[in-house]
Amino acid sequence: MDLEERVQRLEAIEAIRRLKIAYARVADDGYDGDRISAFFTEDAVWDGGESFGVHRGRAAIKALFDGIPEQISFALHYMVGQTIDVDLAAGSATGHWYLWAPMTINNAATLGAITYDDEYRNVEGTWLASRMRVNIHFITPYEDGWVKTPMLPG
Amino acid sequence: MASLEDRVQLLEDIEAIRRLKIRYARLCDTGYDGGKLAALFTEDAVWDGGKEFGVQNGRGAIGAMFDDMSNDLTFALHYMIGHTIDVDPSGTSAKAHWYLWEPMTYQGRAILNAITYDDEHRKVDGEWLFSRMALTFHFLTPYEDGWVKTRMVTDG
Amino acid sequence: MADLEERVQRLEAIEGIRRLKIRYAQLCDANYDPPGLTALFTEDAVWDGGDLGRYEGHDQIRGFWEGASKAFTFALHYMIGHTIDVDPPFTSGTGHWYIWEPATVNGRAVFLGATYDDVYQKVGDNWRFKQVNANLHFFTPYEDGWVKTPMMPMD
Repeated sequence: MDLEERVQRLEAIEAIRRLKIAYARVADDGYDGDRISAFFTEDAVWDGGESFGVHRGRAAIKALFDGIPEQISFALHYMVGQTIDVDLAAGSATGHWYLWAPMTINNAATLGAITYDDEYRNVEGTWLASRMRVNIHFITPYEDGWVKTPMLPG
Repeated sequence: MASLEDRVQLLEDIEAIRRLKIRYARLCDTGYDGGKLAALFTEDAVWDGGKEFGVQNGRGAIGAMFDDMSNDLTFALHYMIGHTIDVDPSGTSAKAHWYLWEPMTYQGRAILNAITYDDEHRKVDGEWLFSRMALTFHFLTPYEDGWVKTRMVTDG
Repeated sequence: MADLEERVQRLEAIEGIRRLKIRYAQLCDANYDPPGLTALFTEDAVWDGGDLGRYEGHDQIRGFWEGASKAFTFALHYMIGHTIDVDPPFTSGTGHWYIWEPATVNGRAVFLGATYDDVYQKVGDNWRFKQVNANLHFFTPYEDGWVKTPMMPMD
């Protein structure tokens, strides 16, 4: 690999890392659907599994996030421990992340532990998320902990 | 000043070492496969868990320790955070410091673990490995207690 | 597109600033080493924590760390999720960070959740803080959590 490509790879890793942090910050700033869906490709899939459902396309992702503040009135998305693999020739990448999230859900202090399996695509020079798979390890009432209540009911 | 090539190499080395630590975290969180974890260490590596968890010398001992770990440690998430990585000018060895935040389930109990690491690395055949991992435990507390009431569950 | 030299400079600046913040965390967690921390700030720097107070210049900033080292007998500063912006000639920058901090304050276990907005300046070969704005989201006794007690009094 020549020096130009090596620098491109480092830049892509940094741009994708930054994309995920931007997603975290918009989520923590009230989950604005327009702003958050702009981080996704038109045909993106946000896959929240059985708990949060599968949402296809930018419009569906916007609607999902617009509805979240009804329940989640406060959150801090601590995005940690990324592994980002870039295919420069294809203009695509994959990523794995850890999330630690203290939240207030329906007025109750709640701790969330999540990992993500993401896919990204470079669209006209900008990295966007084309798929986000959310793996929930626990979402527990603060006073219970993950052994007593690994997953909030509902 | 270092050449552009050397400067890019340094950035790549930092990223490769950061990634090695995250790979370690993910293997821990997906069942502590001793063989796969041991492969991240040099043959003569030392895993130093201090007085609480003892010292393992060599790849074989490190792998065996991890194979045993999943019996009691049924769930863990290793949030690896806040690295400083210093690569030696030779480009073949490095030192690193990390923070770990780790919610876990040990023998059926919810535990919060806070560790910092002092790691040493060697580049072997083009691949960065751990040659030493030293753990400092700040607390290992039952979730219902917190670190003021019970700093180290192992003291009980 | 910028030339290769400039692109590498940008990546180096981001890494240099990231490292400065982690060094800050490490010194906070070494009982708030007041001289060590103060040396990470420019002479005219401002540390602004809102309700935690505003400290300007090396003397005030050092005094703040001395106070912190008495109240916080234990802390771990988990610095996370940075967004760092730098532009040529890469002698200044801005950053946003998250912090998760378990600590022991006046004998009580607490969780602190905050974000930072920082301004950085390069002094010689080293990055320094010119401004640190700490925005506290919660500072809660361990046994309460952030809904019951979002902000515990400091004293």
